[in-house]
Amino acid sequence: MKAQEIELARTLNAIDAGEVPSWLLKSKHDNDQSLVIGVTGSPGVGKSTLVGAMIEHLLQLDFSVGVIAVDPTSPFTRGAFLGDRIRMQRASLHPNLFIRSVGSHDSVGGLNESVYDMVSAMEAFGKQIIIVETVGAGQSDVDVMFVADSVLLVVSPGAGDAVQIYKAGIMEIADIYVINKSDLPGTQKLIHDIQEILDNHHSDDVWKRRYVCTQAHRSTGTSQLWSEIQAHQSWLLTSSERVRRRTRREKKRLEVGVLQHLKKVLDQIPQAHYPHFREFLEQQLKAWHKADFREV
Amino acid sequence: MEKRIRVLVGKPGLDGHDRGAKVIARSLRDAGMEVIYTGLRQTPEMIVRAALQEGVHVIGLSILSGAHLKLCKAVMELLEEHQQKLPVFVGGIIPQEDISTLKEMGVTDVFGPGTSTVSVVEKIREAAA
Repeated sequence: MKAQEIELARTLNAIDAGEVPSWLLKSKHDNDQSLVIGVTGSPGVGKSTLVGAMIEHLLQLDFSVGVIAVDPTSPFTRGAFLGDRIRMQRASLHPNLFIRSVGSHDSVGGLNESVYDMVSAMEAFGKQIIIVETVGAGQSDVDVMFVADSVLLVVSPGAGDAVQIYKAGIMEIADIYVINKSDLPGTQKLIHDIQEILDNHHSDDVWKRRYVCTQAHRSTGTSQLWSEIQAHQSWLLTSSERVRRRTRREKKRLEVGVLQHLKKVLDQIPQAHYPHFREFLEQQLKAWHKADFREV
Repeated sequence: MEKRIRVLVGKPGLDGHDRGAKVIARSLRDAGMEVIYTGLRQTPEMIVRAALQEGVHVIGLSILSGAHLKLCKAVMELLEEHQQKLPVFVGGIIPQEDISTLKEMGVTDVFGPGTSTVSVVEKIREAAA
């Protein structure tokens, strides 16, 4: 194992422990060529297994791959059982692969507040493709769209009727739908349902969302999935969407960093000082907006 | 904020089941730790690489196969090679007479059948501090 890998692990620990405030984390070299793939979907649809299959494919193509896999943190004990790695073992000794499991900590939305910085750290350490796997996601867990260039939504047959697919939220954020476990009964019906939500627009400015069928446990469909991801990449580059998404990610990263810092400050000051703190914040905001707040 | 303890729980070698390792992993989770569970049939190389990438503070090995001396030696040597002085705990079926050999290798402690999960948690907390 390379010393650089140990250095990356240390950096990620420091980020995870909140020791490195986001805005102090400067990339040694900007790796703007990286590709961040978000993988989300309900618990048990096969996200980790799919990521495992994708990793093998990407390593064969000679990419340096980083994975950040988020699993839930207990709201009671703050502990976590991080088990995504189990599904990614076949390639686990490959020198170009780095996997980090993280708990979701205080976050809702499917990620963890440090993920944005962790992605940057992986980019800085030369990872070309970074896969971010969310917790088993619910309908409104959409934060992965803020970190990823391409979002894969993994679905599997047998999880509700077409009404679920028409719902807002997570169904909308996919760039590519991955119909995993496509050897199970119900797959044809699911394909029809997904097809119905794909064909609502006909403009070159808008990405034409698509679906891929996979059986991740036997690596079926991974090379087709990679072709679709590449198609999405080219579209991101030819449209101005990539820049827009990267800018959005930086904004989110700053927002999350500031909020985290503010929360820490709030935890530290005694309750009796809240009015002063509030006054201080108000003054700052007034100065920024150069305008008075309306009395309420 | 209290330090978040990260522990890798893994099973090197060829064991038939991981019931005990899962019980330990859940107890550590319930004690507020982040447990990276790597499961069955791991090589020492896989365990050490995972531990280093995951930035864990403690490694827990569960071995039922009888190959504990060989497997633990390999894990300890790999850690040494990477200059990572991580506390290593071993659990499972370990004959009494092998415990001192394991400790000489650098294993922090050995937990046999019947060890209370409370004392496992305590010892891991101590080692991670």
